[in-house]
Amino acid sequence: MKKLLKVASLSTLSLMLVACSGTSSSSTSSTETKVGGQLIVDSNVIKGNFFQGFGNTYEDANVKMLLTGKASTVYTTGSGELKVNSTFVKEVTNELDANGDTVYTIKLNEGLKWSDGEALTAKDYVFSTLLKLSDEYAGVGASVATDGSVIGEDAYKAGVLYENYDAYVEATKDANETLQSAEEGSNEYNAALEVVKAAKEQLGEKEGENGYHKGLKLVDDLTFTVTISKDFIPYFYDLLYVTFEPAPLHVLASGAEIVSDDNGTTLTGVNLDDVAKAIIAEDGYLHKPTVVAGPYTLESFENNEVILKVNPNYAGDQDGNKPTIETIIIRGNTNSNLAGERLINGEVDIVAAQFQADIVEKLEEKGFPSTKYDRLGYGHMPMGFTDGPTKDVHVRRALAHIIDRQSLISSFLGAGNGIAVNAEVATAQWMYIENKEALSELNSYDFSIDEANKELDQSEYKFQADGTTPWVAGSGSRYNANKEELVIKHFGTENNPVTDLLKSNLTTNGEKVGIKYESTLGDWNALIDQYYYWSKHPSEDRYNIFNLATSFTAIFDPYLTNHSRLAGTSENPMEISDPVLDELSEKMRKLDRTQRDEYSKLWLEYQTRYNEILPFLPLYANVYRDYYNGDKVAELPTTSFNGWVYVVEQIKLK
Amino acid sequence: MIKYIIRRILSLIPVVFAISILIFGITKIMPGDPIETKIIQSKVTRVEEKTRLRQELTAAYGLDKPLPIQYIKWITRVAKGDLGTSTTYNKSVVSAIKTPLQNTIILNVFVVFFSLTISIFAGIKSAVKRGSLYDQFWQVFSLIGTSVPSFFISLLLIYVFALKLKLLPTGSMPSASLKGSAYLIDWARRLILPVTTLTIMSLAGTIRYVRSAMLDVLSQDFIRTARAKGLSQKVIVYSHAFRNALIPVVTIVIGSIGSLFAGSVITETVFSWNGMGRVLVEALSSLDYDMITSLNLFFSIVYVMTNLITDIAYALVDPRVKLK
Repeated sequence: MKKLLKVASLSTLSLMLVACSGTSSSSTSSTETKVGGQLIVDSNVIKGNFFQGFGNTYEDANVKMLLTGKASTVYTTGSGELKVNSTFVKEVTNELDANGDTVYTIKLNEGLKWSDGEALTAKDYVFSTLLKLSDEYAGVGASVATDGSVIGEDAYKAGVLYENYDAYVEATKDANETLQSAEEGSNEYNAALEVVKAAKEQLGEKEGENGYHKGLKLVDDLTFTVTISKDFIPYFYDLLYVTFEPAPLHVLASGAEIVSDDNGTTLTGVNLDDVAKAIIAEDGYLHKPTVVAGPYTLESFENNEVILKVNPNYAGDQDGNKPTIETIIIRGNTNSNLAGERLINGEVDIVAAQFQADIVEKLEEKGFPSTKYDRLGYGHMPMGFTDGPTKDVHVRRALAHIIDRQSLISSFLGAGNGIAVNAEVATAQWMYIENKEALSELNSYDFSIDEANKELDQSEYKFQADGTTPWVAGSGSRYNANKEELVIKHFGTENNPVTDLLKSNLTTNGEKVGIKYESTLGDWNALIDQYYYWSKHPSEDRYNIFNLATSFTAIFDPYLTNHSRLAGTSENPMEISDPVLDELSEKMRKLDRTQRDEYSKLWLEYQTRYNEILPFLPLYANVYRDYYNGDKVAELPTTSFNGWVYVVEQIKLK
Repeated sequence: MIKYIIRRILSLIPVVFAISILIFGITKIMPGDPIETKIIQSKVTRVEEKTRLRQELTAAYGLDKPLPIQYIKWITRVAKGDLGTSTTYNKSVVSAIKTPLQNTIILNVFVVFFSLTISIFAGIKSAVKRGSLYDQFWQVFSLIGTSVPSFFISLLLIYVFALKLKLLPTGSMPSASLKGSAYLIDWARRLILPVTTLTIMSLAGTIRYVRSAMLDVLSQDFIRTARAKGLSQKVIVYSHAFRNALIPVVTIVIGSIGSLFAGSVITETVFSWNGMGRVLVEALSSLDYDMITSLNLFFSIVYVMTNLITDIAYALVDPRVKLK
């Protein structure tokens, strides 16, 4: 008999989230708040995928957030920390089970409602998870990332019972390896697919059956649990494990029931295949989510314009605030260069995340008020870590010295709109803010031809063409002892001012230090192919450097990006493989959420090492400005972590 | 005539077939892989999960079959009117392009109307008043229209009419939040600048075309004879000369039917017009295979049919042209 060890809660992990005085904040003064007015927000093109698993453009994600995303069990604070959303969640507790895995129990507040007035319950959160992870949903083109932390998650996604999963993995092991390496559509590939299909037929769900999720359980209408494997605990960002969004069971799978038994949890009464197909139909929930739990309901999406109306049944944000703006119009535009003009001309009320010098100058000159914050991200120059000349740390460091980053920043962003950073950091991160002084001690890689030459003299490229005579300034390109010329091949996107500025720096200064520089421009698809699949290209065809900008989230977990175990994948395409970085990234994630100081210390060590070996050259960290029509908007309290949709309840009109 | 039309339509089948192979082949050799792009966007990190997702997406988009089979499945589908599913919009291509196609047609109907009306009348008058100030004005206008890029004209119009005079919006589509006459007025206001830009671009070529055709006809003997007979200038120009200059003009008019469906990438982008140009560019940048192949095939068929109609129209306006 399985003996459930109801051990005392892991004190360091106990998550006590208490809604004030035991009542949901949702009961606060909705009637006292005056709702009215209309806000028009400028946006890039909106694709119209408004439900989980499909599309992940920033614009669609904003609409999703306003529709149901804000009913998530966890939210990100303005300073970038994860917290439980006490408006929706009464408490989250955890305990160990007999296997040593951790069972998190999520208890919802009473009285939560969907926009149509129906009760929002734990069933909706469990259903949402069952749907998005199901192989039926993936079968209609949905893609949802998981990390294997939840017990039974992989088996459920594969469409087999938890008990059969090991046998299934064994039966499909070789076939999956073939699927990794063989060309799609080839005989070998198709044969492997058949093997996987056969294994699934033998061990998996039968046609028309829904799967069982072992680690997810519905306890009652307000409570559900999720079991996290002991291999994934502790985790500094463990609140990710209890992050759930609801989906309206009564709308998407009317008549269905959620049943939890020894096999796990499943959906009965409907076939998930039918549910998935109905969701992606022309008028399906993906495109027209009729019933939502967030602050706004979808009135229409037409001609690149989303019209949202306030949801009177919305429980409120984490602090119980409810929106005061009745109508929000998000207008998709293809020409982001004219965003400033649209604000000036009175066509929109908010243009968010502006950073280009010309637009900022224009709007400042016109006196438009703005909210300024550090961008949660940075621009950088990835360099091949295991192949080509940049595998030599001295070459990477020399490249850093011949790029005048200060001048690049002022040309690209304008004075005061960005700084050069020297590690994998965003200036908005709390770790950055806490360690700012220590970070200032890191090597700043100032522009210096002399320093670049000193670095290169320590690299293998210290000779002239004969491979023996030491290189001296003015003697042309550098060579190594094998008479191989030091050539740096750069791939950048077209119409990108940063690419142009890098080209200019590397062409002029490369010559001074004996680097032969070659550049190629291409479109985004070509960049994806060259950068994310760097390892798949033959060595002689690979580019050595790229230039990109990356956005962070509240979760900084380099174990998922820069760890050597991921070398050659699209997460770590340039094959960063450093034992010190590996060790530090493992240590960082294996901390308890309460060990903030320890995390911060390890983070600094990580950044110090990053600065030393410089796998990527950080180019700039910039600021964003959200401009608004001061005659209409009274307050726009956006932050680096919370764009306008996250603070929509706090935006006030005059 | 009917036999000729049937023969021509039958002869178009191998042409369309060859075009379809070309379009399908070119799309497949474009750099990048839509499945890998989706996987990167999905943030899936684990190798085994990627493999599973790759299988699911490859099967979902029908890319798990060899290319010839993919082609046969695609062309069979298209022949039945199913243009496939857009991986960007996650809906059928037909549904995804419905509104952009309508918008492009609305825009181009105005452009074709204005450009043909102005170019026919201005072209005729320029030819009749050859060398006059009027003629020189249109010559210079044509030169400017041909040599100045459309984005420059667009931005210039925005600067003057939207930013300085504040008469018109900088772009975007009409808002569904407006109702009744306010909605129609919004449509009209948002159409003015893109229609003006495209009309200027279009006029530049067509005026020269009409003028040149008219000049050819006006220099012929039968016009001299008509003048000698004492016919009025109006009768000579419109009854005799223009009818004979119709053949090249018919080419422009019918050719413009094809352009009704084709979006203008640059102008639509500058004015944030939700049209076919934008949809095609997005499809290319996101490797939306069904969208790219189906739309290109559709446009090819439209142009092939336009050519056919032009040939038939030749015979109708000029009995000298024999249909064999």
